[in-house]
Amino acid sequence: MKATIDPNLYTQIGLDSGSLTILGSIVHSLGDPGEYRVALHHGESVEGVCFITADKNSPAAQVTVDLAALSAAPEQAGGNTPGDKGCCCGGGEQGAGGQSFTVNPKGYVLFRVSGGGGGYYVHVRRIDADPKDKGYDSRALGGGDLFSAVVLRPGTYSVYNTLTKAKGTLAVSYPKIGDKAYVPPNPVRVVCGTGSFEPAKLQIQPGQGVIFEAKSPSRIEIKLEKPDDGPGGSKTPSRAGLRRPVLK
Amino acid sequence: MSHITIAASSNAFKQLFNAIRDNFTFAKSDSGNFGPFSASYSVKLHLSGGSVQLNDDNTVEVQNLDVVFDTLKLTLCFNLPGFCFGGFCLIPDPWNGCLVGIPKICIGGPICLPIDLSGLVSKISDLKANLVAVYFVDPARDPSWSDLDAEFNGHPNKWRIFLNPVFVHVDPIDIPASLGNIIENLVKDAIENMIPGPGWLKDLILAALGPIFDLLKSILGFVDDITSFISDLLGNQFDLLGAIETAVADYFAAQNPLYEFEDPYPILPASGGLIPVKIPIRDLTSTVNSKEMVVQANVGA
Repeated sequence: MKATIDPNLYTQIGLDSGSLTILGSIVHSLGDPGEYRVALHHGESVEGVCFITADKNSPAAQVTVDLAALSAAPEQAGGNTPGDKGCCCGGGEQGAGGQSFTVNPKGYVLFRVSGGGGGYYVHVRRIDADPKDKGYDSRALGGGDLFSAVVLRPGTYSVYNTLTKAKGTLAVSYPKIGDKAYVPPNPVRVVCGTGSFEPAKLQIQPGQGVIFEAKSPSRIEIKLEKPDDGPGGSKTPSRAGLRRPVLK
Repeated sequence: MSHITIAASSNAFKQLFNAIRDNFTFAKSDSGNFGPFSASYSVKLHLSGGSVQLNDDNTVEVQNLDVVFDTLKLTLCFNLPGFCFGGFCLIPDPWNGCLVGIPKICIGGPICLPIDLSGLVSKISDLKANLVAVYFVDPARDPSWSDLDAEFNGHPNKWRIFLNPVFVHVDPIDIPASLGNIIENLVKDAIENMIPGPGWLKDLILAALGPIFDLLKSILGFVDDITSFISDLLGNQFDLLGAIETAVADYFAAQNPLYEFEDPYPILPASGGLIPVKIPIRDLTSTVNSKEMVVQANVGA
């Protein structure tokens, strides 16, 4: 039997806050009350739409929009998690009626990808906004936005803010099989300033989260520079081989 | 006083027993769901050895009769808890835990461990029996046939003497301690096969699982060691020991007589145009004492 593991978990090495994949998420606050339209972009094309109402009377502090489910492509639609509140706007046609969510204006919208290849960004705009108002484009994180990254593959990564040109490094340790079950430590936080990351050098464990707090316009790219294949090097065998247990 | 008395020595009796014992085979398979795990097995076994003792209280006792598991294959299946990441808090709530959190993503799945226990030997530590004589009418015999017709057609009536077990006890299956290491390797192999990804991902999952033995303890729910768990699973949960005891008792008591006498019993074979001479046997009984088996019968009309 095979486990149902999304291969993107181990084939997509590296993250980009402007092109969300399964291991990256964005948190954005709408700020002002109103009706917002969320357009899901995959490159130039709009693959799905849904609507978020920012209502001062709403008790919801968080709404989760699963971009994989929002996508028009059926093969990219992953399963909803309980927090997604059934987000599956679908439709694919720009402007088509999608599912609606409600959140407090001071609350947050979590954009995540539950499965599939991802590569999404979102464009959020008030329905009644002035035509000159470009709205919010997740390729440029604004002040107060968060980008959450989980890096599984051990190795050394470069971290680059394409908008401020800030640079940093991220080292992910190789997992150790010990006396106790490994649980990833709590996430670390990185402040994205005008020209730097604070801290600029990170040493984390595999699966440990990194939360980037945008203090200035940011697009975070995390790129593998030097893989770490552990003490024995790459252990992916060309074939499984035969092992036959013998009782004595 | 009986008309006929025949005796077989203790050694002759043992030869009769050994001949029947060697023809015994038993095969069975079963499966079951035990909540957090499921299991299935297939078994094929035969009997060997054993010491036979005739007692003055008209009982036969067989001890240390080997139960040889020519095939004993057990498959354990369960869901591997795997490795979860994410699930952490992005924006803490100063009053109540977490304001914005990220859902968990878990890697795991079902694995099955094929455990081959073929070659193990258990014992019937004690089998106590008496002898029972049963009159057998061949179901293939035509009711209109005479005794002579039945003999010519190969379906004569018979007196059969069975070893009738009144007590059979099969010892628990003694699983070797080395099985613990073998099962740990089976789990690792199963993970290797289950996870299609690269080596670092497998190592990450193995690290997240922790010591395999502790993992198995939590999933399978055993306290001491996995060998006792498997012995209990096969012997008690599947009641394999009970099934073997029933099969052995039924085999000796109803299916395979120690000895049988044709009735009427041929005294002289047919020859020279004359029909065979046969005498009817009645009231056949069989007993044992510490020295021999004794069969007594009368000549009927």
